[in-house]
Amino acid sequence: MSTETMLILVGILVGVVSVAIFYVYYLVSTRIETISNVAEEEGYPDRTVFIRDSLYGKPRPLSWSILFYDDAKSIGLRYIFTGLLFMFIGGAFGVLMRISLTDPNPTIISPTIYNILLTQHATIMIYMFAIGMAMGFAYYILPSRLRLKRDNMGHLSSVAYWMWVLGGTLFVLSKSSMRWYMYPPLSLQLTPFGAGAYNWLAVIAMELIFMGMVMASVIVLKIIFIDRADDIPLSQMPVYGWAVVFTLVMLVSSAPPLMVGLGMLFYDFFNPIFFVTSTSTPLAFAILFWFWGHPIVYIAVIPFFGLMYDIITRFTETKVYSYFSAVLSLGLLLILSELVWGHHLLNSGLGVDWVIFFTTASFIVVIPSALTIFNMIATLWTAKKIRLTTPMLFVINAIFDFIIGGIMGVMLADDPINQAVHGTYFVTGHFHFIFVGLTLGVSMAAFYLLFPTFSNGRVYDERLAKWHFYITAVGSFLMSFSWAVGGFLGMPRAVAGYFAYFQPYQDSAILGGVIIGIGQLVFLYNIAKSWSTEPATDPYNILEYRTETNQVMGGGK
Amino acid sequence: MALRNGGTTFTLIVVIVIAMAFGYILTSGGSSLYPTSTQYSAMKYSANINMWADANGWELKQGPAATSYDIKATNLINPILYYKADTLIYFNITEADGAPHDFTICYDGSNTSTLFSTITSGPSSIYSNPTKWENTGASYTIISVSQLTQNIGHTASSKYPFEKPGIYTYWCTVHPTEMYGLIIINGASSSS
Repeated sequence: MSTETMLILVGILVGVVSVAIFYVYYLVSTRIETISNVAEEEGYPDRTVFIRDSLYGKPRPLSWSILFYDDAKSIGLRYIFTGLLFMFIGGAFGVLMRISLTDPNPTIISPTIYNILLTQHATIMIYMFAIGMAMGFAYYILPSRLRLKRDNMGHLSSVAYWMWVLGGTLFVLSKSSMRWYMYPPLSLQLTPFGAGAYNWLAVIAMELIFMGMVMASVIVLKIIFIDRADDIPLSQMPVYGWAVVFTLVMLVSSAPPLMVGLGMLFYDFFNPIFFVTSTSTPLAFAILFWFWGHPIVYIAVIPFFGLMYDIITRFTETKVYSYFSAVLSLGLLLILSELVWGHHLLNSGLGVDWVIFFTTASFIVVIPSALTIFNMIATLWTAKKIRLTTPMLFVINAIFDFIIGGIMGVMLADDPINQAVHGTYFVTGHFHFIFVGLTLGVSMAAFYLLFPTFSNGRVYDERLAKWHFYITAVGSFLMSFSWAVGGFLGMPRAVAGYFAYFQPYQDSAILGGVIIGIGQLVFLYNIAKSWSTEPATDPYNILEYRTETNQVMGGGK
Repeated sequence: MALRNGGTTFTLIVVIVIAMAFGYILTSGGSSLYPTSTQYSAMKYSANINMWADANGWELKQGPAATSYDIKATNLINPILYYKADTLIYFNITEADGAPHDFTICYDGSNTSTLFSTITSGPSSIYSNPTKWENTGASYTIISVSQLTQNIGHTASSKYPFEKPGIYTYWCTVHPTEMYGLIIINGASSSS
């Protein structure tokens, strides 16, 4: 392409983008002016306070205005839909990785691209999808559930949200292939065949994500503890509220070590003094990482436990079997999650004393997990009837998948078994059972429940939703189970190829992965189709209570 | 209007963003220089290159180096290295000055005198500006900054199979204006 042609094309592009930006600016400024006028007539000195008060206690459907309004529900919608968007990106990367493994030798995509896809899939799914859904549902559900008195830190939530989105976007743009745990010296190799040419960008992106997450966590904790209605004492808060509290306390308390570690890693790009000199060890970074890395995988689970309690109690029309043990087990998960990080490093030379400690601590995690699961089963057991709607099916499937994945996790944390199966697909199978079955499944369950609220009273197609559930559940089980079996036979994970001996396990996992992908397409088609129908139901539902006005009014009247 | 339908809009955004992400990731570089296991096993000869990484230039010995390319000097700076095709070269790079260095190569073309003069002379030559090959997929870093720590005397070793005859430029991506040289691999006809 000649320089002139390129200049003309760039000129046209800049012109079109400028016109589009100006049009958006025109729309927004007109809207702001109108709202300012209305607010003034209502006696409000401040436009944002008027918006906040007039949106209070109402369900909030999806519209472009969520990007500009800073009330908690708009922030929640932003998190939920951005999380879903990143889920589709990460899922597409995952399906592409599966397809590339149809051949034992890396022929379809190069190992370099496979490594990039692997890193992006893991990071997007954990930091953007799981955290995004956890934050999103907390922001969206808690204001009506706890009948907030005030909702006044939306601007900070908005900053946190945009930092998080920017971080996720920059991480994809960095083409990093350093795995989600960023170990030096690999992460310091700035070439397409090390960890990625723009790996410093990935580290900046991670720091942005962390800052956004921690800011948002503090604000949600403030919403729960300070802004809750006076007639809801902590002892009567819904289990979901407690789940969010424990999750966010865990997030805030374990993120700082890795934020410091990432700062040191960034310094090492220019002057490696922390992790890769002859007097230091990369194990230091591994410890800093897993001190955060283990809690984060619980962050992807605990809030969804809370949602499962909510959904189970509503569809069985009963109470949580034991509220006390539900809250206690979630709290125990918080404490134990901070003590078991070493089981990710059992073969890294921590010493046999520490290995025994971490193996034992990991085994104790069984107690709160089993308590949670038995509590849910007891709730189902004592119910007079169970309505098997799509969300309920997702939740029951989540219980099954969590039991299988959890038992595999305890096996993995046991040092003798870990010696044999670490670094194999058994690990992948373990966390995909939990992440696909529980995190994705319960996110979808809550999304289906909130769909009438998001879409201003539309009803999703029940038949397509059932298809979505069955396809996802079957695909997820097939994929994770093939990995578990193949992994136990020694199939190494996270590589672009495999020995032909493992072909059957890889092939069935590929089949499962593609089936999951098709299931999510059904979901996408369902919401696109259902949104174009006429509103047919009440936007209020079991996760979105009808609440009375309870707030401190900010206006003049 | 489609934009008022949240579901359709979201679906459109998802499709567009996935397409953009695929396009972005899948076009990322696969280098022609990335060695494969079959290349390693096909090597017929092996050789060692021991060099000191100094910000003033690559040296064959530690200590004050000749300031310009001189074939008779005992301590050559930025030497031109000649090897036969199918040679597995072990690079042993030693830190000489405590600054960060790496060892990166790119393939310039087949070994002809025209290419040699194009590379080594002229303001737009690859030889004086190897950085334009970095991160394009046309370069390959054999020893990275983090492998060669900044402790004087620390040696990092790595190997690379030179299968294709031709002219290779090697340089340090941290000091591309000072530390660069050529590896010339002679073809099969002259390797006997």
